[in-house]
Amino acid sequence: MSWSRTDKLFFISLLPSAIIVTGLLGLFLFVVLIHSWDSILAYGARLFVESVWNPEKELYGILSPIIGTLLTSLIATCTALVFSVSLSIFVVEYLNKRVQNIFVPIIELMGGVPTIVYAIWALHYLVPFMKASIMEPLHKYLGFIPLFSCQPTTGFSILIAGIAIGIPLIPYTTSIIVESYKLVPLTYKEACLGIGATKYELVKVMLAIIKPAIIASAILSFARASGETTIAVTTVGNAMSTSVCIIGPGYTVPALLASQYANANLYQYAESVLYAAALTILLLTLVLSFIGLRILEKWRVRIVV
Amino acid sequence: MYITITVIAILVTIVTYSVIHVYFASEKAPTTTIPQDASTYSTTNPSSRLPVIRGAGASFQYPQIAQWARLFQEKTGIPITYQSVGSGAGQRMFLVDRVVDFAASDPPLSKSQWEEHKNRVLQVPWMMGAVAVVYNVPSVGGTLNLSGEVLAKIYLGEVEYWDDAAIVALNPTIADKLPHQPIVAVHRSDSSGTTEIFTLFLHKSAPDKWSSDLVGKQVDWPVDRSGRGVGAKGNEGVTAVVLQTAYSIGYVELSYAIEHGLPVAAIKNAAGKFVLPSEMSIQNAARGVIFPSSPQDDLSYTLYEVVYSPSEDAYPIATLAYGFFWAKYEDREVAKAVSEFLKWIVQEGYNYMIKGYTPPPQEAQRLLVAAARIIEENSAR
Amino acid sequence: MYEWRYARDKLFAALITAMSILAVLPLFHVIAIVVYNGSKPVLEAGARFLVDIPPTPLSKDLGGVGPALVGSFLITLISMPITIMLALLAAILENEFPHSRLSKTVDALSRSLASVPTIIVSMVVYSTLVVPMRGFSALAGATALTLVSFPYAYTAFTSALGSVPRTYREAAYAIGINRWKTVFSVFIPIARKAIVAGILLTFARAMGETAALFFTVGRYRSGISLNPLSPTDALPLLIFDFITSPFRSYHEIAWGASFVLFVLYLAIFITVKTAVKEVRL
Repeated sequence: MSWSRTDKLFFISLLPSAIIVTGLLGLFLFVVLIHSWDSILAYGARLFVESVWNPEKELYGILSPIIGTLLTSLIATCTALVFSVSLSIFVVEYLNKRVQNIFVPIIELMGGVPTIVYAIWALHYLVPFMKASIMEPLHKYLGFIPLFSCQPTTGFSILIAGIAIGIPLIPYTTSIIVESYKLVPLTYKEACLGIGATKYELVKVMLAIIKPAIIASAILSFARASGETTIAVTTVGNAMSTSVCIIGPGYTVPALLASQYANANLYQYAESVLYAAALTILLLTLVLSFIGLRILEKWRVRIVV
Repeated sequence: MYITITVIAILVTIVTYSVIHVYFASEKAPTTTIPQDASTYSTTNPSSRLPVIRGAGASFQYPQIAQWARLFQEKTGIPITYQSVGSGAGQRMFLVDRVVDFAASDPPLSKSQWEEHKNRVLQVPWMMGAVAVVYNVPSVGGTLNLSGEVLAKIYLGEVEYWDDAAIVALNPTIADKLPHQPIVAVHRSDSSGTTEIFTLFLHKSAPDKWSSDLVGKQVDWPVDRSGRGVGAKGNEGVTAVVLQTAYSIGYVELSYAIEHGLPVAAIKNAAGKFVLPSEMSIQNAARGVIFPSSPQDDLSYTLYEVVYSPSEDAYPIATLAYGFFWAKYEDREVAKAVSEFLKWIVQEGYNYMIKGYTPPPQEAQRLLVAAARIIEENSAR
Repeated sequence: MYEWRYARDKLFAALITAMSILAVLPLFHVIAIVVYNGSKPVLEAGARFLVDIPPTPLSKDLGGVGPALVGSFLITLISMPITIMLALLAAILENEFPHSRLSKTVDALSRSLASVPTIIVSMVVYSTLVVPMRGFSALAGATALTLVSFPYAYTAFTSALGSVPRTYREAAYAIGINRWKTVFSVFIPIARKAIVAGILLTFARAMGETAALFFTVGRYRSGISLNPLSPTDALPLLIFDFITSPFRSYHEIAWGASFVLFVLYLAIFITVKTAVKEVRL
């Protein structure tokens, strides 16, 4: 397309910040790549298909944390999305204006609690509660399903970590969805109600309209859940396990990092392997988010008003 | 509109109050306010008037160093910052990156590391600690006696129940209180000096059961395979799990056991006695170690020797903790401050030990004095 | 004839209400825990809690979190404007030129940055900023925070600007406003509540971030420092260090610090939220 002079100037004026951002983030990724290069060269593909951590003998395999990260992030995103979509609908459709103006700020306030506090809360309250009320019944009645086949001894597991990581994500995703919801022009709501839709049917239409916002916040939640450190390391059990059972202890890449960084540089390859693990998660998230956005493009409803 | 004004007014008041307090620090002397001479410089660049001594390293040593630093600052006005980032990170920050003036490490420099930095690094074994074996067995009221061999068997998964014959043999008086419950063996999931000491003890006391393969900061615990092993993060993690899980056993730094009131086991030492960790018994563990005469010498063997020491009344799972300093500091002010600090520790600091931390024996304290002298001499040139 | 539609509607309402209560319960519980555990030490120590330096295990006084509070402020004050500015301009770029390669790159980079464990961020900033500077600093901490909070600001702003209906863009062009003015005089005012919400959430993230400050900020707890080029402390870092130690006084300080952090956020939150009015379309 041919741009007018003003359009070109506009684009150029936005370039500096984009270049700074690309430069900064690109440099960051480059540094991570450099630091992980040593171990990737030394161990090759073995690093990613085995599951062992023995720095004294320089034996490393990070399959377990990688799988654990993907699983916990999935559980966390589902938890966060399900609850925050419900919460957003509840707030916008079922509460009157005054209560809304109190409720929404309270939810957004929850986003201000540091993750370390969530980690302590999860350790002392969430884990015992969920172990007794959800995990043990799951194992007793549904133990034949491989997902629930291990005995929960302490409650620290991938499932708990996923839920504990998902909870602090709720304020953020709720806020984005609520704000997008409110920016949809009233005409749509009026049109729906005008032809006699029930609230449920109205909500279905509205959700379809704000789908881009929901998907965007889902992707960001997945990314953040993959990087969540303090909560993961406190609740996931920190065990190199490749079993498919999600109510037993496991590992995530951030938890591995947090557990091992302290003494990593006393060994030859340990630190480089940690960087390699971070790099893997980075690339995996990139790929997954691209797929997610592709799906979004296909479903995108062009709202021509 | 009015709400905004009120909230802003409150914030402004709080900020003004705080600013006033910072600039006109009070003359009362509770131990936590900034002393007069330090307050005038504390709001400007910390490196402008008085030197700052920066350190980093083991989290085990953090509370004791923080205590010494505060008292030292109250006396001389020189602040000492310490970051508990772990022994490995601390060593790197000190030796390689030179962003700190001293490092605190649980293990001493290995032989090869010492060769690399020959004569340029001073190592001082400036405090001692201990690893306590804690347990949670509600029916047992008094102290449990345990030995390295029994502990090795527990963590190998061979001893499964609290009323196993091996445990009963060590505790004849309370044998009837030991329940028939499976032992939940808690260990560390992260890399830690505490694990290294504990596994070293298991290996030295029961070498045929606990092989040297299983010694290190991070090991593959055989008991995990039986499903009765639990990995927790950090000393605080192990403490929390043992407190919350009945019939569990674990190992933590002594200060955690003391502060949380956990029952501590008496461990059989090399001389055959069952000893509880105490200041005396910990120091006794270091009495047999022959320290070199100079902090510039190799100390890599000292940690190995202090664990399962042959001394009569020694606690078998005691540890030494080390500080690393440069023999020569470029900044003369920093060199002077560091040597003052080392001398102060020997003269006064050892009177202010936190529960769970013990001063090293006299032979080791001489190394601190020697180090202070070396640093002073080198900076005078 | 269509009663099943109304029944489904009622079922939906019940389900949504139940889920919302379930969602809010843990959040309320966390806040309750923070207030319960944290208000005691703060009220005991009084306003000195905000100014004093932290205690040591043998101290008799409770001390305070002065250095960490000032440090957190300093670091956030340095990093927030940069983050917001960069994120806003990048979001405008994404909104105005959604098909350009540059905006797609920024998008991808931002998402991958969000998935990096924050401790790696601090390790990277350590090797690129702290080591050359031969020392820790508030500046290094601010850089790490910018890297960590950028993805949030960016996503929030793109969502906000993207939710403005097209009609406004067409209307603005139709009366001859140039592109710059449309963005700043039309889109941003319409989306201002969403943008402000984004700013506040980014601020919350920045103030609550622990691992990114691990190897960057220096944990200078012996006094209050206002110099961006020298080490300082931060509240979340202090909370982390103290809550993992065994001493009760340390635990109390950690809870008190959590409480202070929460109240601080609350104050700024209320101020900003009341100042910005909503736009009804």
